[in-house]
Amino acid sequence: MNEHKTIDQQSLDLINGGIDAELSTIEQEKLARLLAESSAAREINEELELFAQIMGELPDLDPPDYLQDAIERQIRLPAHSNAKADKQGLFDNWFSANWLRTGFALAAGLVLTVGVYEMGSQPITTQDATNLVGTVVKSQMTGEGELLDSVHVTTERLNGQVEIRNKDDLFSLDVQLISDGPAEVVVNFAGRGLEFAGIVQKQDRKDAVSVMDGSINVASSGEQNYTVMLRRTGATQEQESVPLRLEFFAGNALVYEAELDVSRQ
Amino acid sequence: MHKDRDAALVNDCKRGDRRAMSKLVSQYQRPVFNAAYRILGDRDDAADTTQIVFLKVFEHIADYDPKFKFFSWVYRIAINESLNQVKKRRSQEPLADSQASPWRGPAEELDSRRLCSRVQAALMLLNEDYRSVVVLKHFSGCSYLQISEILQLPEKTVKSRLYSARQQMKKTLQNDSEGGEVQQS
Repeated sequence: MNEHKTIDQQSLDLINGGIDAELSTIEQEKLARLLAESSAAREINEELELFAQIMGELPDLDPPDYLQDAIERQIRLPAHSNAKADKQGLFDNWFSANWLRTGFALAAGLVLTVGVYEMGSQPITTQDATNLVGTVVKSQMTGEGELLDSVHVTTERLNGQVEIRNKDDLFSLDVQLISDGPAEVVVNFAGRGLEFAGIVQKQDRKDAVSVMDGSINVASSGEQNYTVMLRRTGATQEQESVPLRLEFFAGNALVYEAELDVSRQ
Repeated sequence: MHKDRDAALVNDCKRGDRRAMSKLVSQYQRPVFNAAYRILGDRDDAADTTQIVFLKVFEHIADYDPKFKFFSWVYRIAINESLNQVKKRRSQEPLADSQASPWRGPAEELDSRRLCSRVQAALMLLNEDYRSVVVLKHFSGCSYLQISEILQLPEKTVKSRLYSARQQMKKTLQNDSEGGEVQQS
């Protein structure tokens, strides 16, 4: 290192610039002359070349396998805005969709018509149905409560995320999806000690909602933004540990399956 | 570092396209993780920092100015966040043994792993200003101009810091090989 005192700063800059491949053609020629004439410059150059070589030989590390997924799960993006604008008549094409085999109810704006069954329990009574028909669920919990789990859907035709939150006995499933065409989310809550408690539409639009046999089907198209509410009904510890199963359909095809952990900390 | 493609993906992200976000994360998670690792010297800390970096990137994606290169912006956040972690850690715990006592032995006996360990240890002995430029130059492959954009420093300062950092690292490694004492800068 002491040899540096024997060459000037300009020469040192040239040598470093050469090591970093940052020299112009003229500067490269100057460097070549310098190295030919000065043994001190050559020595410094060799040291720096060795240093750069050692640094270059250090391998890139592979990020942990979980990293990309962990990052993506936490990222929130603005609501998708390039959904197809024309959704008129869309539901006409859905009547043949496989989800309709379990029945459907059309919801207009915030007013939803909902029928409820829960697996393992008695079929819904007339009284129950009457109580639920036309229910407008208040957004008493949407976006609130402890975030328990989330899932991100990234497929060719359907993208978005679903988050589940918990507050007291209420669970909210916040669904934000975007699809190029008809899409459906099926939430299977049977056997988890949960009951359907309502749905909050965050858009003024028409979606189809059906709740039967321990599953909730919400069918829509384009941008979807709604919250499904579930209520705990004296579940056993074993039931609480069973995750919610979600199925995502685009058109009639199952494009993604996921599970959400509903066990409270 | 594909400016046009990055710009298109960023625009898609601003519209909420998660596929675009996924592509950007996929493209930059490795360089960000490696830059963070070289500054922090710890894989777990680097992974945590990488997550924070991307959360910040996408939290502020709407504010991103496309006249700057996306990768420069990401790297700037990565370097700043890594340095923040260094400061936090410094106030919380002493240097780990591997950082405080680089391997000492004849150069000819070094295997690749030990060499990595020594160089990383020497890197950790640089102050953060010097460490940042070395990481960006030698591990991220940035040019002087790119480093000056990322760190928002004049090119002249970048060069000067880089030259000084190299001298310091060389000294550390030489002392190390000769069994000399390594001094914290």
